[in-house]
Amino acid sequence: MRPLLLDLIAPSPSEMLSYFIRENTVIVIFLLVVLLVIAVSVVNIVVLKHHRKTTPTDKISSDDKDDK
Amino acid sequence: MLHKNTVQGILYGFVHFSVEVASFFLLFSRISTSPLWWALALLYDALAFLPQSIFGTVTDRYPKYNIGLTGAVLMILGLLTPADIPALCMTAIGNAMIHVSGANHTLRDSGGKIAPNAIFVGSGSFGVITGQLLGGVSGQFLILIPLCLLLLSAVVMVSVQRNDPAAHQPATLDICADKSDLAVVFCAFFGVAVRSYIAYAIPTEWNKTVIQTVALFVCMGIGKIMGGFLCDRIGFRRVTVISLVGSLPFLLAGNTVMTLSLIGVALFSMTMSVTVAILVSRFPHQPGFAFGITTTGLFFGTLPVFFIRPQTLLAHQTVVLVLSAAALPAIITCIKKGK
Repeated sequence: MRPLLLDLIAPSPSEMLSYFIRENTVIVIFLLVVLLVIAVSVVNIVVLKHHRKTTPTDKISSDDKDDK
Repeated sequence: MLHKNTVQGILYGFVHFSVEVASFFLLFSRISTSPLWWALALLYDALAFLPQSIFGTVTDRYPKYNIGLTGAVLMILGLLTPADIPALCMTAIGNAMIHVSGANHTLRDSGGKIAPNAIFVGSGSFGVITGQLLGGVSGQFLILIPLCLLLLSAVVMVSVQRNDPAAHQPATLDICADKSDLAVVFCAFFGVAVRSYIAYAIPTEWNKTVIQTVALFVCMGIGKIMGGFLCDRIGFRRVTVISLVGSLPFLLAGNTVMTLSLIGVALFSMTMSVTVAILVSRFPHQPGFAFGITTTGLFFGTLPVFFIRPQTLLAHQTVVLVLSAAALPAIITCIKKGK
């Protein structure tokens, strides 16, 4: 069992996290938005690449044919 | 007698209206007075717009899953949650899910038309302003209005999903030019982002009263719906030119004259149908994903508004002019000749 005094001096990690979020809400929101942008961009790129692979050859654009 | 596709659009138009009423009721009754308002508005925009391509990919893969119903439940729980930030997150994510559901049904069952989707999307503008007005009124039981609307929307979405044999078919729109996927996505994305930014950046010194704000949102909604019907009737290329070129003089000269500005806003909003149709034509088996790309564009279009704004009227007008001039070729080159 931890001593009572230490409990008072050193807060638990969850308390520290909630304190940080409360004091830096704008930064946390901004970080969340950035993370969301990155996650969505990754998913979009993966879906686009998958779409390219699964598109039948007759549907591949003439631009792509020219490239080849 | 209304065509079945149009009825589907009207039903989902009601759903979209309800969803926006609920979202903006929450924002303007509880969040707008917070000192963190701008950051929370940014968070709301991010959660409501960005995940739609992810949710869209899920519904494209599992079309039997009624994502709209999950969204309605999430929104109802959000409205009833006492803590503001969790309530905002739940409402925004629920909003995104319902959008994807509506897009799926109005694009897959459209019979090659974009008008049903335009009715669905355009009706949201009426919901935005209704929710804002409702949120500004004080009253303990006002929350019952968005709650009832959401419950009705859930019923509508369940019945549409149950009675919709075409819900698993690919979309039948075919207007996309022969270009690479990346080029099409980039151009349509750019077109949407420009429309989204200009909707905020247009100079509207005349907009000072509630009635004038209502008129602005109503014209935006009418423009989007009108754009869908016109695209089906006169073609997507013509609508793009009418919208982007025709709206410019009205937008530029309408800073102090409400009527001119409203005509410009209605004309400019017509491009919405064109960009959605381009992406759905390119991804007919993935209409949810295609619609999600447009909402990602909407988010990136609103993003600059949170950080920078043109300070003078000339700067405003220059931004509108340059962006419209860039959006026109970007969109036109993605449309097949003769469409």
